[in-house]
Amino acid sequence: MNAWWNNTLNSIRLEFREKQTMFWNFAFPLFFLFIFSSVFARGKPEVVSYLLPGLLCINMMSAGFFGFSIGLVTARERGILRRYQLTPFPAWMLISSEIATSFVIAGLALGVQLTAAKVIYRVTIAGNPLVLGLMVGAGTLAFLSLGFLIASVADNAKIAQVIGNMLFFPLMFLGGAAFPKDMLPKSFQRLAEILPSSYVVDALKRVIVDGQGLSQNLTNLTVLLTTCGCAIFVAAKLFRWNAQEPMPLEKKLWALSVVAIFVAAALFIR
Amino acid sequence: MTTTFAQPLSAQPAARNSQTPEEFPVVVRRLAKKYGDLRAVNDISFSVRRGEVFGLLGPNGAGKTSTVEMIEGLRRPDHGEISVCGFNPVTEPNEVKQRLGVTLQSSALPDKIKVREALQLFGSFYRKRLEARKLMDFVALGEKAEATYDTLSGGQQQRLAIALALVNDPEVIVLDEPTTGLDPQTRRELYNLIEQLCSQNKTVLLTTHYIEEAEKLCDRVAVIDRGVIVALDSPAQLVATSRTHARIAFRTAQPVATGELRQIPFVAGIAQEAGGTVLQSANAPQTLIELVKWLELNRVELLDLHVTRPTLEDVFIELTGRKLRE
Ligand SMILES: Nc1ncnc2c1ncn2[C@@H]1O[C@H](COP(=O)(O)OP(=O)(O)OP(=O)(O)O)[C@@H](O)[C@H]1O
Ligand SMILES: [Mg+2]
Repeated sequence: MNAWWNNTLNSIRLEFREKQTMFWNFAFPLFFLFIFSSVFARGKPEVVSYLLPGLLCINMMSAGFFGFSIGLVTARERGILRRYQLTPFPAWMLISSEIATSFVIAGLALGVQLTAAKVIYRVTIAGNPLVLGLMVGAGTLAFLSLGFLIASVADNAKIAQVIGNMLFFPLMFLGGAAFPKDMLPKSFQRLAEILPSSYVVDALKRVIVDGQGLSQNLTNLTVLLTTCGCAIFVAAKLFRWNAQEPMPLEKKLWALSVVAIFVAAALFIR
Repeated sequence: MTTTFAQPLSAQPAARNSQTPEEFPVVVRRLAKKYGDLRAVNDISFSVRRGEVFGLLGPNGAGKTSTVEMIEGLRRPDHGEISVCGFNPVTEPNEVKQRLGVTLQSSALPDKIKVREALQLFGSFYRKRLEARKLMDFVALGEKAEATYDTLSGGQQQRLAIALALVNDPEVIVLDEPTTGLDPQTRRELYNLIEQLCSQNKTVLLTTHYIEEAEKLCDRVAVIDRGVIVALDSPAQLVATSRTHARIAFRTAQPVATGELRQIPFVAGIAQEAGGTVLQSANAPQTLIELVKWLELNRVELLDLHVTRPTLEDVFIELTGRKLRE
């Protein structure tokens, strides 16, 4: 366990030394907040608080789909993971430690965004801050797990980038993170109901705008944690230390069918 | 001692039982690995004695990395047995990892990690660990303790890789092409480092395609080509059994009659070159003695003489019909 802590603290330290990471995690989301709040909401606190769930969701998604997944694939391509593979430090500890690192960084970034919204735009959070923290945490974990899945499937950083974009934009536009879902045609709204981003935006709206508690968010929480569990399960099965060993086709097909079954089940339950 | 060509171990099954892990920390028997249809490692056997530097010498694609990475437990053998300090890398990878120190042919560390941090972090993964300060001093990176990885030169990164390999005070050290891509000066610095390891009685297994490295560092060398060991012995012994002749080149104050030189024992060929006379000899010491006697007898004054022995490169060409690097 000592090794796990050492690695996590070390990775967090390294994140803070990377200017790029700092920019995308902290500066960019703030810039986004300013644009949305000042231009679209004209600085009105009620409107900003209505936009805030979507902004937080976008921030979480980019942490998972771009920050975490590209970081992991790059570490694999550069042979950093192989350096770890030589040691008795197990794969699950390494991955959980890296997820924890990204979780902490994303948490701080979300905290900065929230604080800025509160201080600069006087947004009030109607619900319990603890419930807000819980839902933000669950959402972040879900997207980090999906990022882990992308990293396991992608053979290199370029492919990871492509898959990340292919998920990011639909999840942002259809999931209600960029604009309210009511503005979408009915058929798209149905599709949106299986996107994890829908549940994150919904949960955050319930807490921030409507002041609802945990009991009204149980469905959201369950969906996000299930997404997290499934993604980690598939990603762990496909995990590779070495970029030179591309994944066999059967494994890719297996991953695809598991994800397809998951999506079909989600559609059916809805 | 005679040179044993090809599969020395499988040719001597009786020796197997006597190979205790104390005496032979690394034992590889009939190892094989295929990638698709390519037999990258094809029935390789060897044992590394405690305290020796054992080299795998071979050209690109010979199967060196595949072999050592199976020993390290990073790749799964299709066939054969491996023992590292008595443990099996496939079934007991953690016991092997605790006792092994490795530098990979290609790997890296995160850009922003500091030398000291890397050593402390990786040390914390092991039961037994050495102090970062000691390791940095050993590889002469003491002044770079607080430098981040991306600011280190290639040679410094390689020295850090060696320090990392030593972080668990390993019994066996495996270095995969430790000096490839480095300039000659840096390469010599690394040779000193590796020689220091030997003086600490560490067991070292290294791969290389530099003849110089094998001759300078290794107690024994396995020459490997297309997944097969074609010869295994000490560099000196490999050269001694070479069919390539030694060259004895000399200059004299008076001209010599080459016809008479032919009578000297072991002389296989004579040529007059710009710098003087060149004798090809199958037994350089004997030829030399007789040559000097002959010159004395004929009152010919010797101005200059040097002997070029066949190198491992010649041995390699003899064994495989190819050069190490084209
Ligand atoms: N993961 C892999 N998948 C497919 N083929 C491989 C793989 N690894 C190695 N090979 C092939 O196996 C053969 C042996 O490769 P290996 O890396 O073991 O050689 P090497 O002696 O270390 O060569 P080098 O001096 O270039 O490092 C080569 O032909 C190589 O192309
Ligand atoms: Mg190699």
